[in-house]
Amino acid sequence: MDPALIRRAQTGDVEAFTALVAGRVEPMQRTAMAILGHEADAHDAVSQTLATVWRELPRLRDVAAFDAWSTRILVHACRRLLRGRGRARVRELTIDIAEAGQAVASAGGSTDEVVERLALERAFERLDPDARAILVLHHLEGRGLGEIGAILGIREGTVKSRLYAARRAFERSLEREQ
Amino acid sequence: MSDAPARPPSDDAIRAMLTERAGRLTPQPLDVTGAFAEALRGSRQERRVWRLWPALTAGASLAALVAVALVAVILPSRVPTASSPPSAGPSVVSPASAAPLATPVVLSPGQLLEAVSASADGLVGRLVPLRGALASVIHSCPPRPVGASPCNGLTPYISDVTGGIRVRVTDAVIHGSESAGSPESQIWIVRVTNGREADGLVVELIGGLKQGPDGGLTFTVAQLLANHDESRVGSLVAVDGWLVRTPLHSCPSISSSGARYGCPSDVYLTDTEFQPLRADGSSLGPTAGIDLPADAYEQWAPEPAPFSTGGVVPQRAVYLLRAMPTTCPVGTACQSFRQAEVLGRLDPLSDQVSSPEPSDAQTVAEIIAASANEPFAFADGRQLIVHGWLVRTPQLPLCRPAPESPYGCDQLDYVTDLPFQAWSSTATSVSARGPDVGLRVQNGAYDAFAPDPRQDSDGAYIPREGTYVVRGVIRSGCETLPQPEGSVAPCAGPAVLFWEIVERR
Repeated sequence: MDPALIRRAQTGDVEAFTALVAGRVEPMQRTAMAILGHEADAHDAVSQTLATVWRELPRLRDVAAFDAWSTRILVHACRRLLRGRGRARVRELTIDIAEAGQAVASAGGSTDEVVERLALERAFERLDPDARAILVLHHLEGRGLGEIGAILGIREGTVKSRLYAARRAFERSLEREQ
Repeated sequence: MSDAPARPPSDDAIRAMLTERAGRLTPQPLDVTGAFAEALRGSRQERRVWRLWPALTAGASLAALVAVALVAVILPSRVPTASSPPSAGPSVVSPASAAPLATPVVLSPGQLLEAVSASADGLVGRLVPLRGALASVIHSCPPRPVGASPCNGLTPYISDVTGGIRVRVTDAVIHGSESAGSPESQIWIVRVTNGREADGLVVELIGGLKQGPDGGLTFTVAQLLANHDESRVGSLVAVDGWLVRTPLHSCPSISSSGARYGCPSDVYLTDTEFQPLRADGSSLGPTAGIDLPADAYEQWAPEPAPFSTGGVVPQRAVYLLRAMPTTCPVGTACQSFRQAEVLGRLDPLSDQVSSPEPSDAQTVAEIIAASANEPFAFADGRQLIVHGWLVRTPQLPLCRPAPESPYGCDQLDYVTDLPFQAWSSTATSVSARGPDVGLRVQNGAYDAFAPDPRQDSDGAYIPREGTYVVRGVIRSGCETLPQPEGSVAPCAGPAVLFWEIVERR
């Protein structure tokens, strides 16, 4: 990120702001979709994030932290959406062979692979927002512990333990699928 | 279902699942209009939106342009004609905004402490709705230097299970709010100050808030006008409404003490976006509104925006009102509106709030020693890491616990430095006791946080060593005592410091 661009955006320079977020909208949508699993919610989360970034940008002191800061806002938005709406719509998909077959046709892979992926996703849907977020940041976005720590505002050691706890929770959730 | 043992998912499998999940999002124009506009409406940065619009039309770049341009296009169309200076025809009123205002969230004391901690001094001066019980802690008064303010031996706190915040109670609160001093949990309005004392943050207590008829935070103007109970002088209410002012007009030559209303302009709070200025330069009042002091618009509108022709842009927000005795300027007919004064706005807090990071691990003895002199200073929301042994007693059926207390005497949970056993049994009796050096933590902590919680063959729970994140909470000391038969109300007694485990490391 160009620090000068961020500083210009902080002063209300619209062109700078649009240039700043232009390349980030799609990655934000992917991250939100991975955490939330619901398209409308993902769009809501990104919308709220952009609004908050615009509103709070003048208060960002460390411009080098823009990426971590804006991602933290996105994670907050996802967490708030999940918790605020009670996420009762955990998708309890029934895996039958027909569904798996359709999924195979659309997504590729063997039936076993698709069944496993669906089971993984159902297990993921049962995780709390914090566990989802840390797994997405690490496994989907490939961020390191230090980077995740900067995003979540916690120390690297804490990231490690939370990531471990999230993996354990994921495994326990997956056991229900076996 | 399968009988095969669960196989931990591989990193690749997780990544593949997440990649597919993320990829299911159908690309479409980003609809940021609703959330973006609402998030910005009423914020201190709102003016930036309007600066955003013309600049965008000059052209910028792709995705963000799409996103922000939508805001630019939709925002003006969301602003009804009442926001503009009238040109001709009726100068009345669009319906109230269909979209709800971004209303503030009622915080717990712990949340407010975290928010203040995370924002440095960014929240100083802000009004915040806070839910908790107001109670005073009796303390001894130190020798008073000449000229120092008197000490009455009482330290008021608003507290709940998440922590406690020291409050400064003003005379206005004591005389103006019927609910001041209530030991029961309710919503209070406090103003964040930059005051700090030995036991942490101090906030100014504005008063107890009357909740809306549906249990929510806010009233509408119509609800207030229809409900005489809320009009008692001094009542505090939060109203989601539009603040509007008429152009200046001449004042009566003889003024009563109520002349701050209606002179030199009329200021109203209404449910609809009302524009009193008519095309011919005259003005009219709303059919239903609350009468406010003449300077209320300039003082409290989020972004005061006067027209060159004398009117103003109506401004919507959640305004904190205090009911005033109704007065009428001499020589004028009394309006039917009730009168109130505006104490401030309840703007949503920034959601960029994160918990303070706990310190390094300590022993129980270290924490107790550190908190011995100023115990309530540890109930400021801070989190501590303690390494020790977590244990609980079995259910103690002979003790009637305080209602809804997490520290009731029917179960005792402790963190100690040694593998202490809080419960013992013989062939004829059972007994429970606390450790000499221990932190009393919430009932259920052992089951929730101990690694491998388990009972031995005698029914005693096996102490479990671990590293726990705790925070101090102010509670009533009587919560640990057996309650009288038939009691249902929360017990009242001296404040004590308990602990709450929030996480195991």
